[in-house]
Amino acid sequence: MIALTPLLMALIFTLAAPLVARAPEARSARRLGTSFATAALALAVLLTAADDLTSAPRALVHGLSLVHGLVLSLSPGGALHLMPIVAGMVGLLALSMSPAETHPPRTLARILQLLAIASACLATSRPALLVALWAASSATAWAELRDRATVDGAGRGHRGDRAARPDRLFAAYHLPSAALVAIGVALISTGSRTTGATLLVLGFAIRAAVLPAHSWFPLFVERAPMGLVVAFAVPQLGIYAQLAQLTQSPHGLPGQLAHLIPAIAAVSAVCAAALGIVQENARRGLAYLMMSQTAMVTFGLANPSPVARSGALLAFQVLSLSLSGFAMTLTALEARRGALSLRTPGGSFARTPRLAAAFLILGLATVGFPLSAGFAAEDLLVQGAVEASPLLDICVLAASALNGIAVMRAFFMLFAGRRPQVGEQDLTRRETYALTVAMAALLGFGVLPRALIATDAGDSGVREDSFAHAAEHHGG
Amino acid sequence: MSYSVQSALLIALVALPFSAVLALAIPAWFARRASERAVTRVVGWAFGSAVITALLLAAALSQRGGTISASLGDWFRVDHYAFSITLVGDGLSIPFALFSAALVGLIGAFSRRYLHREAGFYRFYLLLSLFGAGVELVVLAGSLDLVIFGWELVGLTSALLIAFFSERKKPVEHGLRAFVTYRACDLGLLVAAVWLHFRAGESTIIAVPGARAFAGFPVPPGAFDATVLGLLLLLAAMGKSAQVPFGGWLPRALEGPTPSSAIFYGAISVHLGAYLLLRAAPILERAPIAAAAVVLIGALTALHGTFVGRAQTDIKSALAYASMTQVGLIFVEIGLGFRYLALVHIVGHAAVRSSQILRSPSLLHDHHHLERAMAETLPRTGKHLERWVPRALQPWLYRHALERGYFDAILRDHLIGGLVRTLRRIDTLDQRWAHWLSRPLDGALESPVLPPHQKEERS
Repeated sequence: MIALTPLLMALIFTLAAPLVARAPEARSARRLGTSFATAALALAVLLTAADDLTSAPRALVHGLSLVHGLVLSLSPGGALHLMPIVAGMVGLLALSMSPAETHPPRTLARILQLLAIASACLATSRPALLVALWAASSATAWAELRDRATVDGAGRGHRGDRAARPDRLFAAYHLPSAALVAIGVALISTGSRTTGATLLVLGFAIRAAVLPAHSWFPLFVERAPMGLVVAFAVPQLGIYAQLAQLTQSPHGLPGQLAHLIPAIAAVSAVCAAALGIVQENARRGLAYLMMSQTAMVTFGLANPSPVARSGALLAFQVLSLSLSGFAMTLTALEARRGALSLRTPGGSFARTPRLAAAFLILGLATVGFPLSAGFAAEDLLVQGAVEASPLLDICVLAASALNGIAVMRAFFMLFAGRRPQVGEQDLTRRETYALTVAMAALLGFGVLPRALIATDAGDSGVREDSFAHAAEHHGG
Repeated sequence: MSYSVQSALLIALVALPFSAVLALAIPAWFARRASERAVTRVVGWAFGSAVITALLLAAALSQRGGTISASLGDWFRVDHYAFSITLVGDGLSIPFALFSAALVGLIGAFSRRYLHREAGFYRFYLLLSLFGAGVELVVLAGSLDLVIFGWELVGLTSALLIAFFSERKKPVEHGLRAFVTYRACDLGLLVAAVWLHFRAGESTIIAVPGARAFAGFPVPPGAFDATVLGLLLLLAAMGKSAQVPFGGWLPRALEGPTPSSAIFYGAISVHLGAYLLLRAAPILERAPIAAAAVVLIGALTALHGTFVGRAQTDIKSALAYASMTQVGLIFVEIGLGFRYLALVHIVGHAAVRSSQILRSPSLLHDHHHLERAMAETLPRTGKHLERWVPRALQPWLYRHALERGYFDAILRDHLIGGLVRTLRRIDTLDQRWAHWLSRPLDGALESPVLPPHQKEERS
């Protein structure tokens, strides 16, 4: 089945990439990229609304299906229905808030490529295509890291550390990850379900930076341009959709995996959260926050309870938006001030109150604070999971508590404390536009989380043809 | 007054403070800030209206008795689980809501002059409104899930107001410390909510039969579950109400503006823990171990507070420990089942303490004024302790009081400090592993650039 809305978005991003790459300088490239991201978002909103409100688009799509012999739909099915809009918002944040100094046109083009890949993951359910898209996104991110390492000269990192090559570390983890996923899919298609699912899950775990396969991620977040980090790490759409479908497929997860995944995810969540609160580098702190929250989503998706899975899928959508905004706000502050330390308070709230407010609101939305959609997500996740695994549920709650501390600590260290007045500017109009869209969505859906939740238990995150099912029957 | 009107008033009592938050927050985001006068008017109208609403509800309740409830339906639902928005007004929540709205309104009026031309004037009123909204939600919540919603807002605003004077390092440290304490103890509340759903099937506050009882949380069927729940709720209450050993944040919290210190740590926020335990009274009745723990914690806190408070050299710290002492006594009353006494104690203590904190900047002036009126120096207090405590123990007790019971040192240096050192070592190992994996292909390795604390450990 092909979903047209994300496919069209993928086309927009793909068309935009070379145009942005050829822009004469970073600011014009950013303006162009922002325009394309706005167009993609507007398209996603219009088509999704049309799909929900009227039957004419569906009839048209059905007609096209009959003509071309393809299985078409306007939007992805089930709880992924709104993901094209979320992907559009993530793209808008990643592009419009990328600082010009650290995001030349080539980097912005790669961000667009990653967004195209993420959208394409939503458009298709064919396993072979998903594996290819997975590999393509890893290759794109690796290419950017390699180019930066080369430009810096003999792998000299931004702190003069000659030995650390993030591209090598990235490849050391992602080559095996892509291989595991490809082999896993192939094995499932040939009937070796248990082995195939195990390899698939291992591949996912590396990509999602689940402990202990996480060591690539903090350095990646520390060194890569933040827009690229957001476009690569935040959506991860195909990953979670497929993991959800794996657990929903007719055979379910193999027995041992079904118990092991939630346990590893919960422990990973709390360990990452604990490591996050002792970080002194703001970017590394962000990395551990992302890892912890991602692990919580994985915990929920692997849970047998439909309530927990709904919560996890809602959390996934909320996190995509809130983490993107939080990360880009951090990088906006970094562009104004330089490298950010969490060692002592070194900011000036009075100079940048709106930037501080955005940072705090997006950070708190990430950790499920009240007034944001994250609260409903976390509530569903923990309430649903308690029956199957009460102890693990407590781990997840502990992780959430620690992540909240990490966010507040970052807020106080970055925005409080006397600081020589260096003329830091508050939010620009471009930044205000992007953050207003993100925060309005997070706080608006905080009031009406129902709009994001799949209320039918049979519809909680399942597309009609599951990944594993498709792998078995389509032969990869 | 018809029941539907009463329900509407109950909803309005929560909605009014939130409307003040929106009225202040949205223009601020778009960099359109109103004048001081407009801001105080918004807050004044919102909480003044809330006071009138609460008075009407109090009158209705006194006529009909029982409870008033208002349901806004399911906020969200999946499968068998639903988060319902229900508000409850009874003999516990309506007086508390009235008192809170009145105090917030008064503080808002007081602060108009106290914080006139202060750089953070707008921010103070925004946080004050958000605090008031959170408190009304905690107090009127019809389920433990909804209590959590308001509880977290109160904790957040508390931390942000402690760090109000953000250009100084100490308020920021103390604000963070308070937030960490809240967050750690709130784990008890979150786990309790999950456990209550799991064991009792819901967390909706239930009206207890009998006109003289407050509504309370549902009681799970087994004594073990009731005990676990009671202890979890006690943990949450200890953090918010600064009970030992988690009380170290309270004296430091008075770094914020005096009006917010008065309302948070003299009047409302510090009593929310006691409020939570009053709502949990049916559970405590079923769980004598938990009730005994409440009494023990309260008694230890009262003793700790009274001794340590007498060794403080500034008025705000002394008042903080005095608050802690009284809240400890309130906990004892709740644990022993004296619910109405506890409620009266809360209201009386809140009124007296908040006025003391508001007057504290004028302490020296008041002191001189009083001595002039009495025509003699004021008598020393605490002489009874000198009579009762053996002479040999007094220096030890004094040192213990100066060190604030050594709780801070134990928590900071051994418990949390040890954990932080372990985590940093793990992080260092992880960085070294990543560094080794990312080394150049010629095998040449250089030391990774480590953060300062890791350099100190290595040297």
